[in-house]
Parts: sequence; C-alpha cells; structure tokens
Amino acid sequence: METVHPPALNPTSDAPKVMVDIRHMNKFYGDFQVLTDINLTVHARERIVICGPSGSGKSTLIRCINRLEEHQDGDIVVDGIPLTEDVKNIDQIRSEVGMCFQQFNLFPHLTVMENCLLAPMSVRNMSRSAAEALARRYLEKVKIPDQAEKYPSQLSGGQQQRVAIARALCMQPRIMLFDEPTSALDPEMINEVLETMEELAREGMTMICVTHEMGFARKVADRVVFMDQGQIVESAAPKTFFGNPKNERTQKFLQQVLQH
Amino acid sequence: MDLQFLDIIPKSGPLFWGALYTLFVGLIACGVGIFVGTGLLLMRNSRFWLLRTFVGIYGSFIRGTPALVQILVFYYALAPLTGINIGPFTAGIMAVGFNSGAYVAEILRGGLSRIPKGQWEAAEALGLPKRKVWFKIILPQVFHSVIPLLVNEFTMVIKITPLLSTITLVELTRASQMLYNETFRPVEVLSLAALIYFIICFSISQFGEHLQRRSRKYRL
Amino acid sequence: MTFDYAAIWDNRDILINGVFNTLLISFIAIPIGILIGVLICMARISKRRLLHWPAIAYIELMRNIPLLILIFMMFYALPFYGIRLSGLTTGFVCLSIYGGAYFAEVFRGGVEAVPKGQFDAAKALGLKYGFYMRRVIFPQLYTYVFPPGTNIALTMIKESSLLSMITVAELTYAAHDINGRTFTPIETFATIALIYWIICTVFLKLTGMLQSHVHTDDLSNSMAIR
Repeated sequence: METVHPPALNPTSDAPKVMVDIRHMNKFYGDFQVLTDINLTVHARERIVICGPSGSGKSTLIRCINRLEEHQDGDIVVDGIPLTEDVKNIDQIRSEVGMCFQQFNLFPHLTVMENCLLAPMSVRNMSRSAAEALARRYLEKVKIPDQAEKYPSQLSGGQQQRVAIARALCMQPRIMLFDEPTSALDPEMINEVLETMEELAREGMTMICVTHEMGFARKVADRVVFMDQGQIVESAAPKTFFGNPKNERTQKFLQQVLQH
Repeated sequence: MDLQFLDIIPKSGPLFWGALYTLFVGLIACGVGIFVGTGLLLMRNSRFWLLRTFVGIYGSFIRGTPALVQILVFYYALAPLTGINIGPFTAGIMAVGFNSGAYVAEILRGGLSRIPKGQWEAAEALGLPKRKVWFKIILPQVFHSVIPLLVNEFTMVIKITPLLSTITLVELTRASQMLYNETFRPVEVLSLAALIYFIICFSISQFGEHLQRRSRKYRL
Repeated sequence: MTFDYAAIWDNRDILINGVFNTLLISFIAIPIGILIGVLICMARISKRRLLHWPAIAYIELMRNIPLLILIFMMFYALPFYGIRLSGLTTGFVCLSIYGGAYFAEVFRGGVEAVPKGQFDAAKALGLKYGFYMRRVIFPQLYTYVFPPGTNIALTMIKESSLLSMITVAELTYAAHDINGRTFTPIETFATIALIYWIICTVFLKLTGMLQSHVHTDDLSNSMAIR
C-alpha cells in the first residue's frame, strides 16, 4: 500500500492539511509545570526543528504527540484524530506516527530484519513476504541493505540509528518524530544519520525533529521552534530565526550554540 | 568401622533410579515454577489491584513458610479441601513448583527492572498492543538476561526434592533410606547419595556460571 | 467440613513447645553460622592456598548437597564412629555448618562489592592486612551483607523444619504429633504454616528496622538456601 502524500505546502494554494494541531497544552509532573500553553500547528510536508537548552521541555513536547507522555490540559489532534484517553485513538495515532529515539531503542534480541518486521506484521497484519519486501526497501533507503540478518549490537551507533529510522518507516507513517537522534552518536557518525533524515525530508515526509544540529535546521527546516522553560519562545523560518531572532533568550541561546 | 563401598556399589541400582527420578521431578517442577513465575510477573504488573495484591500475599506465604510445610499442606490439606484426590506425585510436583514459582518471579522481576525504559517506549511508539509488547519484546529479553539465574534455580529445586521423601516419593533420598535400612550401611549409602547430589548440583551450577560468563551476546 | 479448632487448642502445649524449640534451634544456629561464615570467608579470600582451597571445597560441598542428606549423615552415620549426638545437637550442628557456607559466600560478595579504591587507600596508608580488613573493610560490609544475610538467616529458620525428620520436637514435628493424635491434618498443618509465617514475618520486620536505609538486592534470593 503506497501512502498518498497530500499536496505540497504552497502558500498560494488553499490551506494544506493540518497534521498536528496542539492548542493551549499544559503538562505537569506533579506540581511542576513542564510545558506551559503550547500552541503548535504542523502542516503536511512541513519540517519542524525544535531546539532549546536542555530541560526546556522539547523532548517532552514531541513525546506528547504519540502519547509516550500524557498531557493534562489543552488539545492535541494528530492527522484529524483527537488524542484522548481513548486507547483506540492512541493506537491509531501511534501507527500513523513514527519515532526515533536518542538511544535508538532497537530490540536487542531481534535481528535488524526482525526489528523491521515486527510492527508491520503484528499491527498492520501484513504478510511476512510483503513486510519483508517493505523492510528491504527501507533498509536500502537508509543504506544498510546487507546487514539485515545481524543483531543491533553488531552495528555501529550510526547504523543502529539508521535501522531505527527504517523500522519506523516500515509502518509507513505520515509523520516522523525525531528525539535528538544524533545526540548519542560519535561525531563521525552524525552525518550519515543526518543525510538519511535530509533525504526523508526531500521526499516530503512531515517531520518534527528535536535536535541540536543547527546546520541541519538551516538546511532542512521550514520552521525552527525555540523552547525555553517549557514555553515556545519563538517560531520562525530558519532565515529569520538565525538571521534576525527577536527574543532575547533566543539570541542568547544562538550565541552559545553558534559560537563554535 | 571400615567402609565397605565395594559391597554397596553393586547394590546401588536403586540409587541410580532414585537419581533419575529426582532429575525428572526436578525438571517438571522447574517447568511449573517458570510457568507460575511468569504468571506472577505478569499479574504483578497488571492494572488490576486484586491481582497485584494476590502476588504479594502469595510471595509472602511462600517465603514465610518452610518448603516442607508447603509440601505437607499440599499433600494432607489440599486434597480433602478441594475434593480432588491428587496423588503424592502431583502434590509433590505442584508444591515444589509453586514454591519455585515465587522465587522465579523474583528473579524475573530483577531481570525486568534492568530492561531500559526505551524498549517500552519504542514498542509503544510502533503501536504494538500490550500483549505483543510483553511477549515479543520484554519477556524474551528478561528471560535471556536471567538464564544463568534460572539454571541456578534448578539446583535449588533439586535441593528441595529430598523433602518429597516424606510424602513417599521414591526419589534419591528415599531410595537411599530404603537401601540403608536393607543393608544397614548408612555411612556408605548416604555418602554415595551425597556424592550423586553433589555431582548433579555442582555440574548444573557450573553450567550456569559458564552461561553467565558468555551471556553478553546481544547486549546493547 | 468444619474447622476443628478444639484439636489445635487442646494440644496447644505441644505447639508451644514446638515453637520454643524452633526458635531455640534457629537462634543458636544463626549466630554460630555467622561466625563460621566469617572464618570461612577469611579463608576463602586469603591468598594462602592451604586456607583458600579447603574453604572453597567446604563451600561448594555444602552448597551442592541437600541439607536433609547432611542431617541424615550426622544422625545415622556418625554413631558408627562412636559419636552419638542427640537430635537437637545434630540440628544445631547441621544448620550452623550448612548456613555457615552460605554466610561465607554472602560475606565474600560483600568484600568484593567494597570499592577497590578502599583497599588501595588502606594499603597506601601502610596499614597491615589484618588491621585494614578489621577496621576499614569489614565495617563497610554491613550495607552489602545485611540484605542477603537476612535471607540466609530466614532460610535457616525455615530449614529447621527438616529436623522433624530426625524426631526433634520442633514445630513441624509438633504438627505430625498432633495430627497423629487427632487426625486433623488440615487444621494442624494450616496452623503451623501460619505460625511459621508469623515467625518469619516478625523476623523480617525486626531486621528491616535494623537496616532501614539498606536496599534489598532482589537477586540475593537466588543465593539463599531454602
């Protein structure tokens, strides 16, 4: 089954499809407020990069989108499905939203191929042969077709992260979430993962990335969102964001990050 | 008194059969234990309060009473209470298996606590249903990480099987009792029995340690 | 079917005597076991082969034969060598030397868990082996040794039930005794199960108060005898 992508984001055409819509969302850990009045709308084929100092709540925010974390008030609508207590909705959203983690989180007891087959076969009820064909296609896309029978521990960090991307893609998601995908990698492996992500972006995947890679943000993002202390401080196209940041906190952050 | 092993060894056939019986009972009881232990682990992590409480009470009972008393309760009390007449064999296996189950559950709990949180998250993010997450992702890893401890648990089970001699199962201990009552040679017979137990338990536990040393195959 | 309380109540003297003997055996055997454990542990971690290897042999022997076999050997085999111990004495001796091997392993685990830097620092200060073991290492063992040690002690209380098989009048024997008189197996065995449970739970609560800040290692169970 080939996913039909909605028309390209084009300011002059009529409104593109809204993929993620977050309105007035608050999240607490006990009494501590981690996210305050978050409003974020992501359209189909848009590429969002979320950055900010550590502890600013950026990971928490994208983990709310597939309900790895619960939010307390406000609304989250993903691809037209409201995110509520309803388990059915959560399952549906999770099968539409792919995610890559900082620590890869590959299943160590399964081979690369089995990692990729598991969800399509048991969630989508695909046949083994169809799922395998799909997995081979995506493993090829992330440029590791010949490692399918290896175990994750036999691969380098960069390769593991690319397998994790392939594993998520095998569910043919409409949105991809990246939670600091390069932070746990050795410097020489960061580029291979970023290249894979860029290719994905070129093909029109809707992406929300939490990352410190400002080069990637500049090159790929349609919009950069800066978060600090649980709030969205600034949100702008990369040109404005990096060239002419309005908020003082953004300026300070960029100074620190771009210094070297 | 001089030892007369040469006289006893030709008569020690019953010890050999007793040892086989011990291994046989031990294996089945261990199987029951793993089954029960897995069940307890799942119940412990269930969202139903009643199941979680049950696991607590069960563990407390097993850890708070001697295995011998558990066996006696099973043998003498359970059959009249339930009206099901289980023989000594079934009662013995059940008692030892249920005893072992509580300890297996503890072992598995230890293994579970070492599974990184990311494994749950990745499985959930892929949209896998709870049951699949447990049986395809979590339990295989838990079992793999505790194989050496489960092997060790098997020696524990072997070491409580002598208690089954009280309920007339002719395993190694009972077989040796019968043999020395017949030959009046407790020193030789019991030494032989001890040696057989030692060989069984020592080789199993060495095997377990061997597994422990090379169990790093697919660690992340 | 009804629960025959009278059968238990009328024979309460036997039960009380049983409880007394169980507690007596446990609380003599446990300290002796700990003492044996410390000595064997010292020998086990010693570099002298004459101490090291016998200690390993002792530990492995005790850990790999069932307690019941040891008890039978002491009780039925020793008389052939002119040593005739009473059931109660056999009980003390067997439980302590058996438990001692397990305690030795617990202590060794503790010594290995003390960070290596502590040994280095003690040596660098020029302290002698015996001195730093006594004054530096052993005091730190407490944290590592208490939880698994509690488990061994608890198991020893439970294992004392095996002495019923050589007619020591402890709690389990008391149950057989009462059952023999009244033919009320359900009542008697349920009652002693409950009594054992109370003894063990109280024991755990007491030791728990002693180690309030120490975390129980969930794997220590796998070392315990049962």
